[in-house]
Amino acid sequence: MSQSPYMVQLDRITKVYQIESQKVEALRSVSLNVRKGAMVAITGRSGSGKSTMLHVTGTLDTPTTGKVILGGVDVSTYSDAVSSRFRNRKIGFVFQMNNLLPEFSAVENVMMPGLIAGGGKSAVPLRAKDLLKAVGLGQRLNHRQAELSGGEQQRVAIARALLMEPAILLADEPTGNLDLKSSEVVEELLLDLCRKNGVTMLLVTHDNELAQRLPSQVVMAEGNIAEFGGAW
Amino acid sequence: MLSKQFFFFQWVALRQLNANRSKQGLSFMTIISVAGVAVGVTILIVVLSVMGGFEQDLKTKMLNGQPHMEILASNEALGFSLLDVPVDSFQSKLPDSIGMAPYTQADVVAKHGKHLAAISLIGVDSREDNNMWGFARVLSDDDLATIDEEHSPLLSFDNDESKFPGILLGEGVAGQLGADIGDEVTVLSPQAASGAVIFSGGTISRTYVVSGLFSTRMFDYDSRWAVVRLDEGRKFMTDYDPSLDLEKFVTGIGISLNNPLDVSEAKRQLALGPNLAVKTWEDSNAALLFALLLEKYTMGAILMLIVLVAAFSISGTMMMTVFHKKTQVCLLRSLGMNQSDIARLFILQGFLIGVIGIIFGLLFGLGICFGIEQFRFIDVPSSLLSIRNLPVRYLPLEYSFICLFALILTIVGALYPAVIASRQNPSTGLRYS
Ligand SMILES: Nc1ncnc2c1ncn2[C@@H]1O[C@H](COP(=O)(O)OP(=O)(O)O)[C@@H](O)[C@H]1O
Ligand SMILES: [Mg+2]
Repeated sequence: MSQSPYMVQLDRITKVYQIESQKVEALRSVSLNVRKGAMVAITGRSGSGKSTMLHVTGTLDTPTTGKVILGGVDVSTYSDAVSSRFRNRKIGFVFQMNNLLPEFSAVENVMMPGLIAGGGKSAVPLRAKDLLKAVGLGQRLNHRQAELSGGEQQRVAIARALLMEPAILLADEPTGNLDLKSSEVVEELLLDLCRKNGVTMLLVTHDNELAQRLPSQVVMAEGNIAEFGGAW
Repeated sequence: MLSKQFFFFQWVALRQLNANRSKQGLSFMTIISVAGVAVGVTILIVVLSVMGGFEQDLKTKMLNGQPHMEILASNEALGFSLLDVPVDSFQSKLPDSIGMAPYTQADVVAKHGKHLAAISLIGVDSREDNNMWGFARVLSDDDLATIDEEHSPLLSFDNDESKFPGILLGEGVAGQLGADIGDEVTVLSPQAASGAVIFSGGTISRTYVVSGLFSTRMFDYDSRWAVVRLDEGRKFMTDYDPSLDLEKFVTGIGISLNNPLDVSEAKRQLALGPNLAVKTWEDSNAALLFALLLEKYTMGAILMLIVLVAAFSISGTMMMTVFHKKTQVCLLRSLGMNQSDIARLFILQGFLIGVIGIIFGLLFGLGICFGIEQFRFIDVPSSLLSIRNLPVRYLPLEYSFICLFALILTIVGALYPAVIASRQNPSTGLRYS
């Protein structure tokens, strides 16, 4: 990646969904610059465009107009194959739920990005085990989704998101489906591991308390950024 | 990239396929798809094997009855002289030959009492090895030699010196005529030219004594054939006159080959002169052989439709999987799989369904063929076939073709779901609330 001080740059992003004759403007010219290693909390009402922004940032979706520049590179022009590869190497995701492939064990799930990457795989199982230990699941390596609690599933997802040592971690309400106690564990792990690994993180959350614990905040409303908070 | 990761994709595809077992609806559909392929392959194998068996039985009949090759005059009915065309002249040209002998053949009517039968009268030299003829294979040399014996008439006058030569009848002919060994049978030639009657004085009708019966166990031959001495047979050739005896006229030379299936190659080797022609067993049965071939391909194509329907069902099953597993497909995309990776996963699943179905189909199909071969399920009338149970012939080449085609169909069936799955926008499967 280049010398740009920014890891994530969104340049006047719009996203319009067309459902039959009706147009939904999910994002209306969003611009955002996030420095390397920054941790940004994104809050806002439901339907304000948080998930859309995260998906566009993570190359899961393409913006209708505008540019997505990650690490100084415009990824919005990438082909599917190239952006998939980029995603695999540089971006980790944690979603609200159903993060795990139910057919595979915890450790297999964590290994998955490494296996998709191919190449020298010998280090992958070891790193996967280490990461599962780091999220406190060293004893649950071979358990599948059905045998893990919601909080444990999210911890496996965090371990997997960090496997490829990504530059960016995108989390979409990772604690949105958890009880208070598991939420705290997951939050703690997420912040701690990202800080340790110097990962740039965008975290969507409903939880204002959690948002305040991050150095920077963004509040979204009606497809745009309504308010910046914290350090930028 | 492809080879390095091949086993990874197989692993993922197999896992996902296997995992369907826990979800009742999907697993049932997958089983139906596999069963559809298996049933199609089974039926194809059984039907084609039995058809192949009948074909082989028929070919055996063709190969064991008439000469594999006949050297004839360009005008078949006229025949040729062995002085002009000696049998030996072909020996060196046909290393594959295991027997060569001259013969005469004429379509005539046999009469015994009130009974008539249309027969094919074959004249052979009993001193030759006549192994190209079905009757010679079932008769001992001594039995065949009885055509050379002269028999006194049943009713004779003191001064009557006339003797009747022997004739061998197929069992069917004997049955039609109601004739048995020792009976006198009159042979009439409807084709004898009027001129011949005048010159030869009596060729139009000759009397023989039945010296033996034969059964080749092949109905068409036993019900048609009668065998006499070569010079007797000659008397029924078109335009017979006594000079033909001196010139050693025959209808043709019958040849049997070591490898009758390579007969066209042997035919090429012969390279005959202008007045001669070769007729192979394939030529004489061309229409039937073509009908068999056509039947085989038509049947194969029709039965392939079963596999085609199974491929549709695979397509349907996989479409359900595409929607059912949308979240997981999108998750794999978020982890770095690209569109062609996803397509490959689904095609691989179709491939696996196909392979499993084909393996079961092969096992069942071969099992049933083996069963048919071992146990007599159906009694076949013996006049129809030379054997009593359904014939089976194992056809490895056809089986490979069936399997390959079934595999292609299942993969094609998986293609559409694979494309749909790969085109999904990964974002849409990863939204909640
Ligand atoms: N695939 C889609 N098709 C049409 N509209 C969509 C689609 N995805 C999201 N939207 C709309 O876009 C808007 C923003 O959605 P989203 O980004 O999920 O909001 P948030 O995550 O903040 O709740 C909402 O109005 C939603 O209905
Ligand atoms: Mg959302």
